[in-house]
Amino acid sequence: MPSRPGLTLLALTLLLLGPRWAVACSTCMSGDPTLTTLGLEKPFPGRLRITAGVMYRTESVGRDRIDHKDLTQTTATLALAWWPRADLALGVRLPWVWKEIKHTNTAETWTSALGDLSLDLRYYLTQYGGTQGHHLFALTASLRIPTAAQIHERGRPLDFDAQPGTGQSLIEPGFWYGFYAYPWFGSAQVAGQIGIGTGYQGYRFGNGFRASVLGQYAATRNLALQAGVDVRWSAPDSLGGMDDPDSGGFIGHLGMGLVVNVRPDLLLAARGQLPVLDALHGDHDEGPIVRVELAYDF
Amino acid sequence: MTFERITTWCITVVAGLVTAGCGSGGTRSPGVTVEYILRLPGTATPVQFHNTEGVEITIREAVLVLWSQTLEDTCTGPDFAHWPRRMWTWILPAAHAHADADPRVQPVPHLLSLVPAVTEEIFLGSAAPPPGTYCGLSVALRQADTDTMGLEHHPDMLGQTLSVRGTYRINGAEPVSFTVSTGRTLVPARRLLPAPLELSAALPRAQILLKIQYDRWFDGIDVENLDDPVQQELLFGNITESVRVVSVSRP
Repeated sequence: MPSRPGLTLLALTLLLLGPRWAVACSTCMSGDPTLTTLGLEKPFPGRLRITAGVMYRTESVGRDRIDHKDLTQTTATLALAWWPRADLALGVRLPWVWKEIKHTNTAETWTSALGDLSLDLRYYLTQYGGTQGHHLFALTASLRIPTAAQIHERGRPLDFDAQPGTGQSLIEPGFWYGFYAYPWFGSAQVAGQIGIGTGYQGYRFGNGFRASVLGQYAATRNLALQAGVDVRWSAPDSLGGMDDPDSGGFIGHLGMGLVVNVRPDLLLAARGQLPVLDALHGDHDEGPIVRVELAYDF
Repeated sequence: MTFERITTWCITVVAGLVTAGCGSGGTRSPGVTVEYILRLPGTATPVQFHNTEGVEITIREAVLVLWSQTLEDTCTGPDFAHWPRRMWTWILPAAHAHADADPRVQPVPHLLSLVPAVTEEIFLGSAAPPPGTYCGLSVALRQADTDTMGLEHHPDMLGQTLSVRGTYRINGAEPVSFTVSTGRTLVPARRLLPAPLELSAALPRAQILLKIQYDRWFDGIDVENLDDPVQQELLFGNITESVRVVSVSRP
C-alpha cells in the first residue's frame, strides 16, 4: 500500500504543474509524432521531461516450509531527463520502495523507504534515414548509487530481501537502437549489469545482462499499442560470502502495453509483463510486473 | 523553461522527498516462535545418589553439550518409543553446520555444567518453525565447537561431548574415583511431547521446558568397569534417555 508521503509527492507534482501546462509540443520539436515513454524519446536540444511511475511485482524464493519467502514490491519512481544537446541525454531517477515479505513461519516484514538513486546517460551516435531520422543508435550507461539506508529494527538489520536498496553500486553499460516510422516504432536494447563493491550484509550482485525488444503501433494520434520481450540473465548473488542458491539464472518476459496522449505533452503509459521463459536458479519464481507511468514534457 | 518553473519543481521535489523521508522505516512481526529452556538442578556442590544397583555415586563435575533441538511432526518410528536403555549406538557424520536452513531447528549449541550448576534455568534459544502440528522433539548431543555457548567456562571441552568426574562406593567401601569423557556424537534423544503442539498464526508461540536426569546415568552400569566399551555404550545410552521434556506452555 503506497504511503501517504509518496502519494503526496506525486499529487504535489501534478498540481503544481497542472495550471501551468504549456503546449511545449515535444513531438513538434523532435519532428516525430511517435508517442514515446521514458528511455525511448527522440532527442532535441533543451528537451526536458519528468516522469512519475509506479511498478508492482511479486516474487517467491526458498523451499516450502523451510526457508520460503513471498515478496511483494511496489516502487514509485520520479525521473527527470534532460537533453542539453541533440546527441546527449542525462537523467536521474529516484524511487520510493515498499516491500512486504511473508515468511514460512507466518512472520511478516514490511519496509517503506527511499531507494537507490540512479543516474542515466545516453549518447546518440548517429541518426539517419529520411528527413525525420528513422534510425537512432545510442550508447547508454546507468549508475545506481547506494543511497538507500539499511532498515533496522531494535538495532538489527531487517531481512536483506526487504531492504529498499542493496548498499552496492551497479553500473549498466549498454547499447540502444530505435526505429521511428510513424505509426510504427521499434526499439532494441542490450545492457550489462555489473556490481561494484560489497553491499549490506555482505551482498554482492551476480553480474549479468538484460536485453529488450519493443514494438509499438499508433492506433490513433493519441493512442499507441506496445508489445515486447524482455530477457535477463545473471550469475548467482552472494550474501555474506556464500552464493545464494535461489538467485541468478535466466528469465524472459512478454510485455503488452499502451500509451495514451492525455493532453499535449502529457502521456499516460501502462504496461504488463508476464514471465514466459523461466530458468531461474534454485527455488525462485517471479510473478507478473505491472507499470503505470505519467510523463510530461516541458 | 522559465526560471520560475524550475524553482517550483525544485521546491516540489525537495518537499516531496522530505515528506516522504518522514515515513521511512520497517518492522517485522515474529510469527511462529518456539523457545527452549533447560531446567538445571541449581546445585553448586557435588551431588550424591544411588543407581539401581545400589552403588553410591558422587558427581563432582558433569558437563554435557546439547547441540540442537528439532521439532518433529512425524513420531511413528521406534526412535520415539520409550525404551529404558539402548544396546546399540548410531554414529552420525562428524561435520554438521550450525546454520541449518530447517526452521524447525534451534541450532545454538550449549555446553551445560550440570554439576556444579550455578543457575536454575538456561535459555537455549528459539526456532521459527512453519505452522503445523508437532508431536515430538529431537535433541542432538554432539561435540562442542568454537561457537558453542559456555565453552569459555570449560575450554578443555572443545571437541568433547561429555565429561563426568566423580567417585563411586560399593557397599560402604572406600570411594573410587572415575572419569568418563567422550568426543563422540551420542544418539539423539527423541521425545514425544506431552500433547500435540499446534502452531499457527493464531497460536504462534510456545515454550518447551527440558531437564536432564543425570542421576539416572549410572543405572544398570557396572561402575567398576567403566573403561569397558560395552559399559560406556550403556552409559551413553542412559545419557540420551536422561533428556526429558518437562512441559510445553504458551507464554
